[in-house]
Amino acid sequence: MSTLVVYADTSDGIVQAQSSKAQATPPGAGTHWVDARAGAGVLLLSQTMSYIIIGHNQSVDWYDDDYEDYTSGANIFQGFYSFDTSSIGDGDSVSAAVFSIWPTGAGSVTRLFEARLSDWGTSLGTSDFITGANFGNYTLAAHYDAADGWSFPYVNFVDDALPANINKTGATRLVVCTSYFRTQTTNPSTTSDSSYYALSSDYAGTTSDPKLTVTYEAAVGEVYDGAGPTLDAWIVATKTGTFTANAVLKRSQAGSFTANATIKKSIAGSSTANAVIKWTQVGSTTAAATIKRIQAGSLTVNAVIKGSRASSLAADAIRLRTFWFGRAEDGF
Amino acid sequence: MPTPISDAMVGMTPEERAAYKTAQFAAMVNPPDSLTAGTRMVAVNNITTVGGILQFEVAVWGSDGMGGWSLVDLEAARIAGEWGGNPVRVVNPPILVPDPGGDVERTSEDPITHVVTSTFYREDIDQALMQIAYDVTEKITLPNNEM
Repeated sequence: MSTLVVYADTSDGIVQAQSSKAQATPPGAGTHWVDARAGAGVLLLSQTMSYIIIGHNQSVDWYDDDYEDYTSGANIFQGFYSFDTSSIGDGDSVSAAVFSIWPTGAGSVTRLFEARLSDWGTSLGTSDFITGANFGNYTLAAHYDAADGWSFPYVNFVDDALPANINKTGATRLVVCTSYFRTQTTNPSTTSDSSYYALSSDYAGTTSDPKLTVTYEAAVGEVYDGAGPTLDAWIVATKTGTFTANAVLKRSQAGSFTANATIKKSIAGSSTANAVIKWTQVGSTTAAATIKRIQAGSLTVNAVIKGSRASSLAADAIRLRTFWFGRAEDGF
Repeated sequence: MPTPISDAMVGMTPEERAAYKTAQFAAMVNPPDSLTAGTRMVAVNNITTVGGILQFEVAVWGSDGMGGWSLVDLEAARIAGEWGGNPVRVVNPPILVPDPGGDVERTSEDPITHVVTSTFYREDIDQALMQIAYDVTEKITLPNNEM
């Protein structure tokens, strides 16, 4: 089981949908929300800020471009994230994936945030904005309820379907907005601020960048719930090159585990077995032989048993017999 | 405070930056021993690269409150549904850690209020490595050592 921590690409950013500035009417009287939700007003792209805004606000004191006039309007912010998950093997099995962001500021109204799968490509543009009517058509990967808190360090989104949708051949890309954005189809009659701030990915990378933590199992072995199979040999023969086996069996939850030999026969070249059994929590462990026979070359055994925490340790023989110039020498 | 890694990455593509940062971590001569925060202590070991990805192993100890520490069985925690198993691999590792006194400044202008905010960092891959290890084991339940 391995853990992969992927810090976000710098291609992340915000696409902001504003309602039309021509509407000088208060919320409820115009169609600010409906226009913004449909992407029918103004669309803006921002990728240079140190934070990403997700959510929305509807205000009567919204500045316009010359910073002099006040007007009313709606802003919807969609946060886009990209994580390079291509290092996970095609056949590897992903058991968990957690999307995490580092909050820096919160709106006054809590919302349920939804992280949905959207492959917006290698560069973000305003055309990647997803309308409220379509937002629910994108697979829900994970969610987070801001009512559960919005303060650093990381907040972790709760999984919905993220592990099954990790892209093992490229980038896993997400878009985040609120369930309110998805379901609120009419213009709200009141003002509200549900714009939430979280740090974006940084040019050099910071320990507070958005990240994806993936737990996965390499495709070499399999997990058996019941009786396991009998394997005469994991690898029958290696002719050239190196061979590393980190573990024959990583963990035996119950029942017995017998390893007759780690290496049965080494004709030539070196063989290294770092540990036959690294850790035994309870019960007995029997290793009949570490190496059964060596035809030529040297044998190095760094440790037969590395550490024994509890109970007794019995080593019947470290070396049973060595033939030395035709003379048999008993072991110790 | 010097920023040699950030300086060297000027002009690089995102992929080149990620590879360069990974190489800097793998080349650490004297990685930090451990990071202790509250009742949790983490340590890293066997720092290397696998297929161009930074890899290390992490160990976690829980404090008994009286100066003693108990090693956490990460594999058992994984089976119990927690995350943070070994080995830990990191794509695009960060090199900056938050530091109000740091000389790496990041500024942003709020698109709504137009207020400009600054955040300060320092370049410190030792601390960054330990922070990654600490974060990745954050959800691991510590042994109950209360007397």
